[in-house]
Amino acid sequence: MRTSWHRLWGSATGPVRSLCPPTRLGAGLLVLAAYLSSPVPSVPGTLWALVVLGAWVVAIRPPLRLVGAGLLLGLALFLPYFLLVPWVSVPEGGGVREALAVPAAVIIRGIGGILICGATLASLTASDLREALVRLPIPAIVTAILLQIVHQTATLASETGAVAAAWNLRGATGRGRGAVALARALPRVWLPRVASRAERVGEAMAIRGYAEADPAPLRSCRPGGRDRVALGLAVLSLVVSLWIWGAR
Amino acid sequence: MTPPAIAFEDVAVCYESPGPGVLEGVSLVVGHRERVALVGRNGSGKTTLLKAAVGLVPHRGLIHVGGRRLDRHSLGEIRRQVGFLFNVPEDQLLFPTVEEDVAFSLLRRGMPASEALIRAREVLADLGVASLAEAPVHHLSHGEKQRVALAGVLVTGPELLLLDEPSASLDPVGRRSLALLLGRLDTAILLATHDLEFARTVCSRFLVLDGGRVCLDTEDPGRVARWWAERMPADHRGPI
Repeated sequence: MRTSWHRLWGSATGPVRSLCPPTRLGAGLLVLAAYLSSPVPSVPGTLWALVVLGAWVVAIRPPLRLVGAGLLLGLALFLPYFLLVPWVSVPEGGGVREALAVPAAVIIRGIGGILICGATLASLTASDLREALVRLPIPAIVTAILLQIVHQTATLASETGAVAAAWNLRGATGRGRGAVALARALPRVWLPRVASRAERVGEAMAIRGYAEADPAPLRSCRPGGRDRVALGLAVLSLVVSLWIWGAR
Repeated sequence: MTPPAIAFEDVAVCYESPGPGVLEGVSLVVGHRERVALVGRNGSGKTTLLKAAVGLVPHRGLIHVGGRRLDRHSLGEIRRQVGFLFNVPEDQLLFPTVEEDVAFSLLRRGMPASEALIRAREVLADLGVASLAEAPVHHLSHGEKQRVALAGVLVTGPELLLLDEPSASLDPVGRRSLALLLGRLDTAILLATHDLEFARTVCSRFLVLDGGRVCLDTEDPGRVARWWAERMPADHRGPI
């Protein structure tokens, strides 16, 4: 089974790929924090946020289709916030500009956040993610759950694809009554399949002792000078964001 | 004297109470290194019996694995000494790449990572899938997943293998090679299947489960074939 979700992992080609997995994940989290804490839509805050976003994407160099997909997803999710502009309460004397600032900040943060997360994922293979998580100070059970969420998502995507293909074949797609029938059947068909799969995977985890064993790294990874530089730059970006935020 | 690999004594399983039992008074013994096929129609209770053997379904009666009684105190230890192959292999592949998945079984038992990876590769080579060691498990075919799942089971050298429909969805070549592979193993096997040809290649004893009860216990696969034939619709009867 090859899903686009699975192809996303490790698809980047930038210099960040050569860093240790924990460095990639840790730097990604710091860059995300720097981006989100930069005060948008103020001019210096927005400019700095775009610099951080651009630098991270260039350093990771994810596939262009991933960047495009992230942009589209972000627009679909956050553009509707502009519909709320007439109801935004602005300070006395404020106008349309102040009202637009609220959804603009949501859009800038939302789309940028998606792109940073997508790029960070593209810099890690699923194995790298495991190596990174087990080395970071995260409780073992959280690591185990996160890894299974990632691992099972691809399987779930395949299961969903199979249900969709079966519906398509049986003519339950399209417009009008077909679409209504599809929407009504979705919870009754898809959810039991997913629940059944989850039950079987849970049994396999119990048999294999998945939750009993603390996840341990499988490969050695010694952070070098490049790792330290990358982490230093990521910390610096966060410090600058906080400084701009404080200087408003 | 070596204890039996597994022994069921008057085992009953009922998923809904009150309701019909999935298993009723099942008693059977699989000896040390004995290979037994559990044959029966869909819904006859084969999978339930295998799951009961590792405490995945609540049961009445007694189950002993390697001479040790199955209860909540011994459950963890028994699960460590039994290899269980699920009907859908991808359900039990819990790691992103093949070698990580196989090595996990050893890491869980305290083996250092470097040794576990080497041993995992050896077992993958034994199963003819060494080239898949670094492959993502989601990229494998069904037959490859079956072998990788089996590698994850065999890598620990279990004393008992519980296999649930291992030949289902395999093509004839894959089925034959899996049968030969299982035939070479030096361990006790309880194999649930309705593939009699496969069972004949792997096992030397055959149990037929019908309506939650063992209705036939024989070393003669011909008797099992006749049992199947008698249950065929009249216009489909013929040699199996």
